[in-house]
Amino acid sequence: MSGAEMKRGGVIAWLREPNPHSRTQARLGQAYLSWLRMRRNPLAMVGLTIVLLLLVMAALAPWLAPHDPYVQDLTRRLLPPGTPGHLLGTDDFGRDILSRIIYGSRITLYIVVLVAVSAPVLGLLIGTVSGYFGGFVDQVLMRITDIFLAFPRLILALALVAVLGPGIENAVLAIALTAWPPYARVARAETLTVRSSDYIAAVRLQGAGAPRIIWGHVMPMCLPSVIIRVTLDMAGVILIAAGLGFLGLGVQPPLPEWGLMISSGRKFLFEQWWVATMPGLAIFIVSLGFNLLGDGLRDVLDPRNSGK
Amino acid sequence: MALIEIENLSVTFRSKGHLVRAVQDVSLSVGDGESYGLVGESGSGKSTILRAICGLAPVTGGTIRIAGQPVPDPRGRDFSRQVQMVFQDPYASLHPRHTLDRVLSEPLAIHGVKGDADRAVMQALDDVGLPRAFRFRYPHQLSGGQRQRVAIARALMLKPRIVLLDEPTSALDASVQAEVLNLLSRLRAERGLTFLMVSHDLAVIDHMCDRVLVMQHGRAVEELNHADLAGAGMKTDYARTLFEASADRML
Repeated sequence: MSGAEMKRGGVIAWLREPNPHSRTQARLGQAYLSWLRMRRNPLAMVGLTIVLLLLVMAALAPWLAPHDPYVQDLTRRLLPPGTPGHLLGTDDFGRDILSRIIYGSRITLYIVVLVAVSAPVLGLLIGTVSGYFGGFVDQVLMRITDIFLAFPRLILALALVAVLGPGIENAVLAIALTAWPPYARVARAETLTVRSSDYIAAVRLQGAGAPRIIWGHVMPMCLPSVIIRVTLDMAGVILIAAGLGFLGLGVQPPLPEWGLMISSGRKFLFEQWWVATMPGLAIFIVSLGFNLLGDGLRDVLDPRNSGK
Repeated sequence: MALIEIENLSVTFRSKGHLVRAVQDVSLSVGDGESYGLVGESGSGKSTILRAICGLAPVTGGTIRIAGQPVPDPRGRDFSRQVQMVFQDPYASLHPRHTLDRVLSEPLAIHGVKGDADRAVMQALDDVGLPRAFRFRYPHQLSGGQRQRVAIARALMLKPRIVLLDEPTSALDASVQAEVLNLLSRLRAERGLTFLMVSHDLAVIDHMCDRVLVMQHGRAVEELNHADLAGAGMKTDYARTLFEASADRML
């Protein structure tokens, strides 16, 4: 056995240690077991691979892209896919579509990350507080949630962008403001099942206050279902961002946002189909990746499965 | 003076418009260092009395006094330093995502107990007979009996005088039951704890308790002491039925 293999074996043994010696080791050991469960699900691994590829693509965009995504060359406009130097063809300004898609992954990721850190946090907070306290607090918070849920998401996002003005930050804000209610509902439902459990009664009996119970005891139980919901919703967020871009209310030209690229290719959809299709495929693949990953996470993170 | 005094306690739940009288006019008093049992069939209101003491069930009538003082509402931190509870189901009473270390150190953190939390957790594991190596395990990595030991250790972290035991062994199999009961007896002897214990099993009560209150349909039927149990000296039919059902295991 080579030294590297021995070292690797040592790390795995450390992770699998049934009697961990520290908090960190216990936590990492659990994460390792989740990873093993995840690895058994091939579709989830496909999803994870796609998401990781998106991350790599965004991080290494300047080195991966064959051309500058903004440089126009009207002599080389609307070249079909497979043209030497332009693998996916060029758009109506002669810009390389592949390079624009690669750079566009940064914008997509930026929107996804901003929405993923804002909406679920707000939803989780409102849902757990509402579910834990119940009664009047629950009534008020849930009616507010209902109001937000009653609007079609895209329409509300449109209204917000119309008020705040188009742009990437406003698009994110609009999406986040319309995306939190489902998380609040999920977190509240989860909180209601947890609230009356003996372990919550036990910690309450020890004199713990509401903030400690909600933060330390209720939220960890709601987190898995919210995380799953977030990954499943990421596809929808990408689509809404693309939709806002398509309508000209999100990211502004000449930024290479995928929805915007589809919108500009619409004019040539029948003659030069690749201009709209290539970014469409990119949206499709990334959405699929997040969906598959979310499905896989559902099996891994479900607390009812832990320990198996 | 009695440590726990309950006078004419009533607990009424409102469920879908009609009232459920879980406990009606029950009075009892438990002396300092005594072990007192509540026995009865399912739904007789015995667990509800424990939950009412802790503030987990609504007191709709009567008074509860601990060490002469009426219990405050909400119960508050001073109360939790005096009274702790061990729940029936060790699979439900430990947070599935917290290590034993967190479960045992949390009471100290809540009460801002100064001193070496590491040592206190180790000591607590020793006291209930769990290996120190279990410290960073999760509940799903333990057996039922081990979990119940953790729950007992947690209840004792704040050094309470009174421990309420809600059928602490009914979810465990027979051999583990005996171990846990012996552990409880030992801890009571060592620390001078007062137990108020619920069970549907007279044999368990006989093993653990000095006096026992037999309950049926939310009402107190009869109070028996150890001699009554040993000599089958119960006066009511219901207590006798209950006794006969578990007599063969008592002795």
